Amino acid sequence: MARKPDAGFAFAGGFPATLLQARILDEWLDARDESLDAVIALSPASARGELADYYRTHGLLLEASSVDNVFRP
Amino acid sequence: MIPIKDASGIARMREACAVAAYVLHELKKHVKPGVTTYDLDQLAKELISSRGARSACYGYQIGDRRFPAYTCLSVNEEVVHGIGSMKRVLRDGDIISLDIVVEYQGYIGDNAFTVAVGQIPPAVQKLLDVSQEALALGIAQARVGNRIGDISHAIQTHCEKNGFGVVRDLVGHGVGVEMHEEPQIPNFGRKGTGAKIRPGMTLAIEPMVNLGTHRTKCLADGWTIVTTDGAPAAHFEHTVLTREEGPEILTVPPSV
Repeated sequence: MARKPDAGFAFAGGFPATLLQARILDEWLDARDESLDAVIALSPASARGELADYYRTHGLLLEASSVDNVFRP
Repeated sequence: MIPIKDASGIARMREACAVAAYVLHELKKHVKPGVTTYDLDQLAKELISSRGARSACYGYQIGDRRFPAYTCLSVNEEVVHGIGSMKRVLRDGDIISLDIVVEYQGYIGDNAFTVAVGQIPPAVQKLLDVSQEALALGIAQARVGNRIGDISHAIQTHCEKNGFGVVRDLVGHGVGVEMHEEPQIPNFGRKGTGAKIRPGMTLAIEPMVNLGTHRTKCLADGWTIVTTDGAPAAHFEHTVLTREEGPEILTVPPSV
């Protein structure tokens, strides 16, 4: 039985915007046996706050200065 | 991580693959005009349980849907994951992919073969021949030290050289305790890319090759994958063990 290849996807622009949304997204991904690979803070402002802290404590947050590395295989 | 099987895992893979190969071998004999794909599915169910094994297809879950049949039986433009039906009567000139996946004592064997029903057109026979050759060429690349992309490249090159379309939407896979393990094994790709092949991997290599376009879509049943242009498709598969000495096909038919 053939396998469906993994397809990556990216959220852009404003989601999740709150800690609650982030937690719900995690649950949703979990139910699909998936997880986030990275969260990118494009500006210094978005690297602050509870949402950024949430992803930082999970080791997922990448700040704009290191974003260059994200797109390198 | 690509699971590496130890000696006992390999021994049990051999057993599971032997059952899968036996069922496929027996089922092939019953493909003839007038038989329905439901009949074949029921026969496969009996053959599998006669060996104390279980169909790994039945109940296989994607999201909240479960596969309703014991084997995947895909006729003509159906590429893979066709569901046996009393309404689908095989006719002279059809081709049918028989895909058998069994679980035996915790390990899974996976193999497939596309059978001609009676007389088929020469162009379709060529599709079957080239696809089977592509599988052999792919398996030959499953050598320790090579990469997964070497398998992919060998399969793609041979099929496209002959003017056939290589399916992109589905891929081969590692197989073992689970039906789908790492790595993914596309039937298209570049040499020297992907994971390195090490001893003790068990890989289900399965070219899916279309007479026409490589494009496919899924039918409303949520499972059956068909070619978008309605042209026939071929599918051949073996479970292969990677050994220091070279690749070994585990799903060898009993008579061989």
